[in-house]
Amino acid sequence: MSDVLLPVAIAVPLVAATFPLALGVKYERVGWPTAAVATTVFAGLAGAIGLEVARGGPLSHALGTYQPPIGIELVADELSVAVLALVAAVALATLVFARVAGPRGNSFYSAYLLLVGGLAGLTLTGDLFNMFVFLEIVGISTYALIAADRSGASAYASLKYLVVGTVGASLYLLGVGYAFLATGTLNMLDMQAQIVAQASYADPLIRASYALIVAGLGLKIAVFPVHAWQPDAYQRAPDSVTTVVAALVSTVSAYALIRVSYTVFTVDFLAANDAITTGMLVVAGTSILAGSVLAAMQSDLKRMFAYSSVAQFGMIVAAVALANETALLGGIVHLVGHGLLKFGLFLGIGLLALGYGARELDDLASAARSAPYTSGAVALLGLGLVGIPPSIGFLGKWYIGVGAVESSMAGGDPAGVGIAVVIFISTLFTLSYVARVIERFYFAGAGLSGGHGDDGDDHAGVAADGGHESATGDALLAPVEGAPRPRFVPDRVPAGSLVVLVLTALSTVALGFGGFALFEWFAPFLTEVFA
Amino acid sequence: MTAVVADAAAGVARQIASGTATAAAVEVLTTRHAYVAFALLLCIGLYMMIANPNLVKKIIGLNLFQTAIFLLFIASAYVDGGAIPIVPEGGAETGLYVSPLPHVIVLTAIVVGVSLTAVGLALCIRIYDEYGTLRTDVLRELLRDEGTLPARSAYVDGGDAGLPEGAATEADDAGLAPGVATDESAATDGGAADE
Repeated sequence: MSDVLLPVAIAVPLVAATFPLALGVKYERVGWPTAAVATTVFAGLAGAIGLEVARGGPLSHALGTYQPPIGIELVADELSVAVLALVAAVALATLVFARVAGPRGNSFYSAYLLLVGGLAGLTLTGDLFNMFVFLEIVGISTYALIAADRSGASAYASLKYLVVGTVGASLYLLGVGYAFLATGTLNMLDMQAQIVAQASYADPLIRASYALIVAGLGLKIAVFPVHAWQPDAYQRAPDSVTTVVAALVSTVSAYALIRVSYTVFTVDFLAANDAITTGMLVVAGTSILAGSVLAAMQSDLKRMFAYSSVAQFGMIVAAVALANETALLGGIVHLVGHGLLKFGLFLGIGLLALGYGARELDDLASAARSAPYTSGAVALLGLGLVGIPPSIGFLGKWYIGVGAVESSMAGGDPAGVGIAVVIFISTLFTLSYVARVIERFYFAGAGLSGGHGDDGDDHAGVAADGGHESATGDALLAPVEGAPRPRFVPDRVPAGSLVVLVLTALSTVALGFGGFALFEWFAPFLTEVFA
Repeated sequence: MTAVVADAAAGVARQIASGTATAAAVEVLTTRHAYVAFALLLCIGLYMMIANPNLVKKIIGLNLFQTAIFLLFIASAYVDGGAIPIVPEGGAETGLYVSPLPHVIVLTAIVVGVSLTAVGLALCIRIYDEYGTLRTDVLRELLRDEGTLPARSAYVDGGDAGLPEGAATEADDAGLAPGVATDESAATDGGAADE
């Protein structure tokens, strides 16, 4: 009976998405309350699904009582529950920020709820074509959200994403079409059986199908050669949209890749097709390197962490292609962990932009003096992104690296060690750009007297020569006019969002301590996949 | 794998030798024309998206690309001599029917495609309102002037300086993409001048 939670969890945000528009005809500010109620209900349902799965194993629901493989099936297992929990948490937390940061207006919240519903559907579906539909619901609402601040630049970034994203989804559909031609079914579990029964792992149709699906999802995930849409989209989108899009959209596409690779095509298929996995490893390795290098070259914070996403998702794709239990565990942990880290980072950047009107690294000199809690949380999350223990960012990277080396030891294939080396190099680059942020926040020395610090911000025009004695206050980060003034902290940022940010930072550390619990949680999924 | 390729190569060689290659090609074209059309449409759509600088034409290319995929699904559903898959109530469920599932899939995919086109065109309208152009090359220059896109890198600027002074300014004045330094933008410049 509890399986009815699955369709309800998808339906609640999707149905609620119509309310802000419909009620908006009559009432002015109905968007945020509706979204808050619907997302809270959705988070409750996600929690209930998680409890049910923890108690009684995977849930499945046949939509409209049409039994699978004919009907559409919704499935919740350990993996989808983890991603669903991430979606629910981030969706709820973003609303706190969107309340103060905008964009306001009822249509924004309609698109937001559509996005949440699409993400939930993508996470829970057990049907390949249904997955395409949810992929496109997510896509369309993301395009609309990115352009939600009505500027020309964001419209151009969004259109770029639209063209690339649609090609990605179409390639995915084409891949599903090929697999459908070979097997005559669309249900994931049924197709897993039919690929063996009616075709084989060496069937060109099946191979082409997998290659097309990987290419399509790769466009959506934004791995290196086809990542160009992503930095623009993240940078131009309104801050509250960037937090949710960066944390969830690519993450859920990567979840789809894991799901399709391991539930539909299985690890035996990957083992039987070295050419495909090697190709994926090469692309992933390039993506890790290029993303890290490009990120280190940026001065705009949002753009910097957008490029860093390219690198992190390269690691997840590598984990998928390694087809190794440890690496896959690392990939899943990193998927969830990276989602949380990026949510926190973009939220912190958004808060600094909201309170102090600065987005460039150079404009944020000594931010830690005027906004200690915000800067502290951003620094903590940044170190997590580098992979300093005890953060969840460390766990994911560590398992992927260990898995990569293990696969090389087992198969004598040098690609695994190559991935481990690339991850190490990328970690150094990540350290270099995160260290730049921390240096600016803590050690830029703006506002200190007596020539302390390097007063490096040339914008403030503080002359470095001649012992500038009175280099006080003026160079310190100045809050924008009307910035909120929370009661207990010096940060001039909205209190509610600051609480969310600090909680996110702390939870990434807490999750880092829960490595064994995470392993326990994903163990049923991993044993099923590698059985 | 190599054996298959060798076999195929041998088969092609035999056909050429016996003069049946043309016949085989004609046969593929006549019996599998839907799949040929699928491949053609897919490539045309993709090429249009990449090569055409006009945003609306890019969206048309996108539509062609999607239509090609619809065609693949529909063609795959066809059963020679199959009837419409409607079984009257109580009627026997025997007999030859075309597969209804791909049709349903395509119906859904068409709806998705229409929504995407709508969003895309809405964005185009916004871009046109803001910048007064739909050409990506002009748009990129405008965004660069606005400071939204990063300026050209130093070495490209160096390349610019190497050119005759007049040529660069002329291009600037004409309001076309003045990026004469790189091969790529030089090509698009040429395209712009031709129109």
